[in-house]
Amino acid sequence: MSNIFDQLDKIYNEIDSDYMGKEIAARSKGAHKKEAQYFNKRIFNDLAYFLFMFTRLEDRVRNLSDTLIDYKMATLTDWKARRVWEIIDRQKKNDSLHFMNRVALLTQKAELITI
Amino acid sequence: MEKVEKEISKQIVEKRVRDWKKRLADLYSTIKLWLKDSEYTLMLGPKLPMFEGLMSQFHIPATEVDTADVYKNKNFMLAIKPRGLWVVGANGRIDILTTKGNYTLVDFAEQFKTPHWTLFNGDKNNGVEFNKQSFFTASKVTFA
Repeated sequence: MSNIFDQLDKIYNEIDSDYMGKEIAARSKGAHKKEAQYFNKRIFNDLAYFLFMFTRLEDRVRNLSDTLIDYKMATLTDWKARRVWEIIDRQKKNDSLHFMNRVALLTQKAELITI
Repeated sequence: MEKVEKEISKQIVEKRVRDWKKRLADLYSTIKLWLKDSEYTLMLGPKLPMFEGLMSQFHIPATEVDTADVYKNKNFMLAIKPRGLWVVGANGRIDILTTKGNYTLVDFAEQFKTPHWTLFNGDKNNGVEFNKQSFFTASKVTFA
């Protein structure tokens, strides 16, 4: 069974293709107002699915980072190594661990910022 | 990895919008050249509004981008419509809409570099380099 991202991708593409078909039909008839309506619907569909996908990603990052923190807390005994994870664990428990800090726990330090 | 831009500024955003319009104009010129001496012609279509998130953030006024249509004699065949400059993992996306199928063109070049247009037909894992051959192959169904 495909994962949630593949399923969302499939549904998104079905809706986008449907609107595209209507959009091109309108354009070929010179119905530009109608064409713009379908184009805008595609943009809204983009935004809705992006938001939906991002919430799924957010959940995945949260689950993976929680697992990592729990593992560190359960296995580290040396205080020098453990103290940082105790602070992170406290932030996790009071829900103050910022999303991007959770991402940082799971990734290499980035050297490139692009827009 | 190559260092690109470290800070986002109004100037950079304006420069990227200018660069996007130039890449679109260059792309339309290239396709026009490919269609030369054939029964197909490319003509600019209605403009599309452009006002993306970073433009709003830096108070850059909305602008418009060109679209293009391909005709066989006087019959409409396909439309080329820019979808967005700021897309995840790429430097702009264009939709190619035909009455018989749709394609996506994505520029995978780093910003301000020579475009690397890649053509997709639904399957996001199997893009091909966008050139005269792939354009005509993709258009074959439409042009037939």
